[in-house]
Amino acid sequence: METEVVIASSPTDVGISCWDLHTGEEHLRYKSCASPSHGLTSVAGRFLASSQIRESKSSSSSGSIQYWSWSKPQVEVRSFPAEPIKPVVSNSQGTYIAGGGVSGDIYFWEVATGKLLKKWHAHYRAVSCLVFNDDESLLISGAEDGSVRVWSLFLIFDDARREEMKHLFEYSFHEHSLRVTDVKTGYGGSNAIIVSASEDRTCKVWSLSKGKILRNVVFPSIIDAISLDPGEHVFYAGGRDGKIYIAGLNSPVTSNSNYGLHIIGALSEHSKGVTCLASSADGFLLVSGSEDGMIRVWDTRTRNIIRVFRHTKGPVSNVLVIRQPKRTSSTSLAPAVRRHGLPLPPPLEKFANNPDENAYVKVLIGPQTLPNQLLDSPYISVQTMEAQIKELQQQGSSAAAEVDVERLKSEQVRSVQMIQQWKKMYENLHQFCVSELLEGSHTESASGQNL
Amino acid sequence: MVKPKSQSKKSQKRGVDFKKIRRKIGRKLPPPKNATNTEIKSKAIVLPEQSIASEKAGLAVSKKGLTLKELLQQTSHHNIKVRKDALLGIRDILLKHPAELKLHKLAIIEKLRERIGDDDKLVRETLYQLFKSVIFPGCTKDNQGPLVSLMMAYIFSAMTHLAIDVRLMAFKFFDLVVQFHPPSFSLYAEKILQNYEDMLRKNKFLEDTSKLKNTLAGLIRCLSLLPSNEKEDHSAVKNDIPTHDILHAFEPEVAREPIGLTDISKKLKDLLPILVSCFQDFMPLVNSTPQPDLQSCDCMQFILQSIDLIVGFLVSGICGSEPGPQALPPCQKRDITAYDQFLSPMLLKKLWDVFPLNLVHLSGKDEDRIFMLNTVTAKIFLQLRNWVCSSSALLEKFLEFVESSLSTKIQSGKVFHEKHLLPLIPYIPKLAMQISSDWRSRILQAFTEVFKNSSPDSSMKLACLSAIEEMLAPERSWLYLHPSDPSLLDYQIAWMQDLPLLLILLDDKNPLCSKAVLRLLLCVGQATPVHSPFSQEFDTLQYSFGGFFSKQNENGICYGPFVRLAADIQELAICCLYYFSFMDSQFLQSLISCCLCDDLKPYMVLRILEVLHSAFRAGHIQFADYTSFLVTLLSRFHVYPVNICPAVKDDGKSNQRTFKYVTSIVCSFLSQIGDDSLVFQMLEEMIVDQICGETLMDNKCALLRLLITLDSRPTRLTAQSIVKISHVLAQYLTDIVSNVRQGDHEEKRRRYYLLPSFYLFSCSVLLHMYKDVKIRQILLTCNIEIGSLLQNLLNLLSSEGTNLTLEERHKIQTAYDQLRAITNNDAVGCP
Repeated sequence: METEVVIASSPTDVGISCWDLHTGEEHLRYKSCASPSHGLTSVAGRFLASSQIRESKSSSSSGSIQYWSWSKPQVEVRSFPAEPIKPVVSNSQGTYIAGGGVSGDIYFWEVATGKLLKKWHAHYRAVSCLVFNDDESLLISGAEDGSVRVWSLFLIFDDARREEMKHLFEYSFHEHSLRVTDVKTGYGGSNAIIVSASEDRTCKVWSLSKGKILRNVVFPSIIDAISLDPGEHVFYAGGRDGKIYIAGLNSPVTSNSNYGLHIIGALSEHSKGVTCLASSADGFLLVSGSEDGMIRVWDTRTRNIIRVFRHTKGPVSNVLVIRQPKRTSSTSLAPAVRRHGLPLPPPLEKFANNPDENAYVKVLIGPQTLPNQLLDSPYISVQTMEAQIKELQQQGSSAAAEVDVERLKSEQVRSVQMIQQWKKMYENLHQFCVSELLEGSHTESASGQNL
Repeated sequence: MVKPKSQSKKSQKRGVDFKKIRRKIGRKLPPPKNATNTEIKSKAIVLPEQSIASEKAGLAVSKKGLTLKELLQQTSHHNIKVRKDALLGIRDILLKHPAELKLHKLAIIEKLRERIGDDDKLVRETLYQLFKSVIFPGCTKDNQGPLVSLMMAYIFSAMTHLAIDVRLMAFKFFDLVVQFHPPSFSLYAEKILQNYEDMLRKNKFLEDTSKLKNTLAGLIRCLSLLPSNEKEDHSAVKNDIPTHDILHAFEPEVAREPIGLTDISKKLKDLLPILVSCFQDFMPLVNSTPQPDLQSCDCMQFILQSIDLIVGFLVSGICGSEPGPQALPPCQKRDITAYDQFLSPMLLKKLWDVFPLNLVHLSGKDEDRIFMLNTVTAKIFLQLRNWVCSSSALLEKFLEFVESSLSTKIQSGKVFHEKHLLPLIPYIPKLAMQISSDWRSRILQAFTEVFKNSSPDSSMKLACLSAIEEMLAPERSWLYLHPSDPSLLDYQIAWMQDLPLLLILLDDKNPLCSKAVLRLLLCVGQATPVHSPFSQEFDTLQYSFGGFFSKQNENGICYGPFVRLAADIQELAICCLYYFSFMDSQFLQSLISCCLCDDLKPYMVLRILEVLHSAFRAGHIQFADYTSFLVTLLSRFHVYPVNICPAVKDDGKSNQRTFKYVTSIVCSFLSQIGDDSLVFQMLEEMIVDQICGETLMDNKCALLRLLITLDSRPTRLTAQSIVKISHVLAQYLTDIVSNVRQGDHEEKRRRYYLLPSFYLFSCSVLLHMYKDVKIRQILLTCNIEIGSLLQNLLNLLSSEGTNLTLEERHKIQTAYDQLRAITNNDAVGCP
């Protein structure tokens, strides 16, 4: 049984709050977190990661990324990237974390080892938001220079093709004139739509398959957050004027709306600007964080507030809805795990390693989301595996040939046995048929005689 | 010409037919006296030509009384004159009875098409006119495909006619068809091109250059229909913002004509050498006579234009099934040679050999003409992809031409030159990228001169701007990949520095150009990396950019063009503000005086505030500058009906609502900055000073509101500022009472003004006021006003529409009580 929890953080140092979405029960509050917008993510539900930007006078590169495990309120792992990171995002399996730096670079780490796999210059100005598409092959980034770019992870790790392409991005959209505040993707892999919001008071809908703008929606206020309806009928846009606008995606153009073209309606209760939005998995609940520190849960069908959480006095910068396995019934956990929680991965590295150093790939089995499942995979050392692979690759090697002959021999024996068996069966059947026939005629003649 | 003749004939006949012959046979009885005169008199009896054969009642007839059917039959009459008359008659009928055309459209065309290849020139000409002025305009709404296909067979046969005139006419007919129904070209392109090819091959027959010219004009029209223009595609993408109603719906089926583009490109390739040789045929003429005549010059120009179109089509690679050129930058095309193999270097070599056409001692006009030919040739050359591979001597020749023509343009400054240089400008970025650095600086130098010297609202400036855009905004082009060398950077900075001045020069006369400049500026702002020398250069632009908004001169404020431009351009300009990594106070000064301009729309003021707030959040404006910007805005905002008279009930002419909104926005922005108490501490003095200064009631109200937004309970106002405020507060209150009259309508507004003062009352201002003897005296003098104020206060409390919370209500109540107690004391104390 999974529950959905709401987690929220703010740019001032008040920690991460956590509530159960459906019951409203407050969970643990994780301490010392001051995250910028889009700077909070849950790594496959295993632990929380958040980028930190603190104005400390001591060092210029004061940014860090912190991990919290679910069971402890303290920060467990701190990593210090080369520059302050604003948005962070992790893929659904929790294998990678991508972060956008203030210089416009995007960093790509492997979570389990903490290795910086790749770093590339993505934008002219700070990256403001990052998001994976639903099949996680594309990374979409928005930046303060108003551009939205689509990166294919295949291309980024394919050196040969990259050389050929001359530029890394798949698409670069320039129609926004001011900072991009949020980007969301729909379903459908590389054929999905993406929606981006910007400080130029517009939201734009793009097609990933065609690489062009599909729709431009002008709002009466700056939009800081968007959330896409799972059915992609509408999207919700949280404005600085405290309203959450509902803009139609699939409806025909409505010109009779009070707010403007494509805008169907608005949810309004906030006194201050909406800073972040998230929706539950079924899409019926919409969670919004606001400048005034409140988190409101809306029912999108009735358009009413059904719950209000109070996070802090200051603004809320991030709201996430994540699915979490119920941890209360943790009797099956091993005692050590129960005491310490699952061990968290090492901190993220600052610089990319030399490629030569990865001669022997470490084999890692990532911690699993369900801890009561036993790890029963057989262990083979990397060296043996590589040797075997090499052997298999070399078709002509004697060992491989021997194995082949061995296999063929056993097969032959088996088939000979098989033939024998079939023969025997045939014989039996024949016997049976003949006897049956003879018997039949016998009885017939017998009956004839009787008559 | 024709009509009067026939009329005269008729009149003669009539004279013969109806001649009265007098005969004297015998005497008649005199008529009885009561007889009725049955004679009918008329001045004339007109009988149209009669036809015994048919009954034409109810049928449409021409002037001569012939029906359409008869006329159609007559079109194939052996007599030329009858044929022509028949055509004219048809024209009559169709003009008089447009319905006939609709009904018998196909029949008419079926019959008339036979005349396309008519031997007589006059008949063809009449037919041409008939089609041009009557039939095609009448059929625009119908399905044109069948009509065209009916005609095409005959047009083709006429194109292969022996007589050259007939052929020429056939091309003219085809030209007409294409004008009428453009897709028809792509359907018949292959055949048509073949015919043109045959025609031009025999150009020896065409001694008459005017005929050649006509043919070529038709060819150019056809060729311009080829889907080759990259720029058109580009702009189409930009303009083509969401037209679909439903996002996830299937795309509407695009009716796309099946075009065998590969076949066309083969034909075009065949056509090319013929055109080139055709051009060469003119060479001896040009070289021999010092003064080439106008006709042949035009012909040469047309030939070059068609070559240009063909090369453009072949190079753009649309003929292949590759994705459109805008999807991939040019350098990314993998097989450059694949397209250029259509154009073997030998093909156009003859053309390059004669370039540049250089004639000695020419008069001005001829020089221009030759120059024009040269520019077109240069354009053809630059269009080719593989010109880099061509020999260096050839390349030099062209580069020299480009440079010299750009610089002669500056010297002469002729409109003519400018017009013909225009097509060369888009190739400058490509040139600058691919040639050696020596040549690059020369070309760029010439280009920069052209850019600086062209008049601000010319199309040259626009072309230059788009070229600069390509060279400045790196990721849209290929420069991104190459480490741009320092010389290029210098030029880029030089161009950029010119932009704000250009904006001011343009004023509001040429919004298109202003928009282009601003878009370029925005684009540059977006693309400048932070902390680079380039971004520093960009920041220095603001000193000249300030003049675009407003300028302070000795006799007041002079508003820049910004205030007068359209909203979308203003929006662009405001967006540019965000990208200055630092905004100095002087620039903010010019911005604020622009904001205070009455002509500026309230929406734009809000947008400026929003963008500045984002810029402040991003650290582009210093705290002190930003806050003083906001406070200045509030204290100097000009609210125009100063005294609200009850007569003006609608807010039509007042901007009070705007000001209220601005106030609330400023309050919310300031409260978002950070810790309220800290902000309050820093701003207190400034705001209090402004309140005490010479400000109007509305502005005072706004500032008080601001103070209260930032303040907390209990107040953190220092005693000093409380005293200061209390000096003005009394005046403020009396102002409210005297300005805002009684009445239901005014209730709301009065509450708006009073509310901040109540808050202040509740926080000890009152007591301070009371303690201060001086104030007490002032208070005493305006005792009556206070009395009415108290009355208002009571009204406010009792009014049912109040949306005050209980707490607020309570506070007001206590304030009221205190106030009353004091006034009572006063009344008692001083009799």
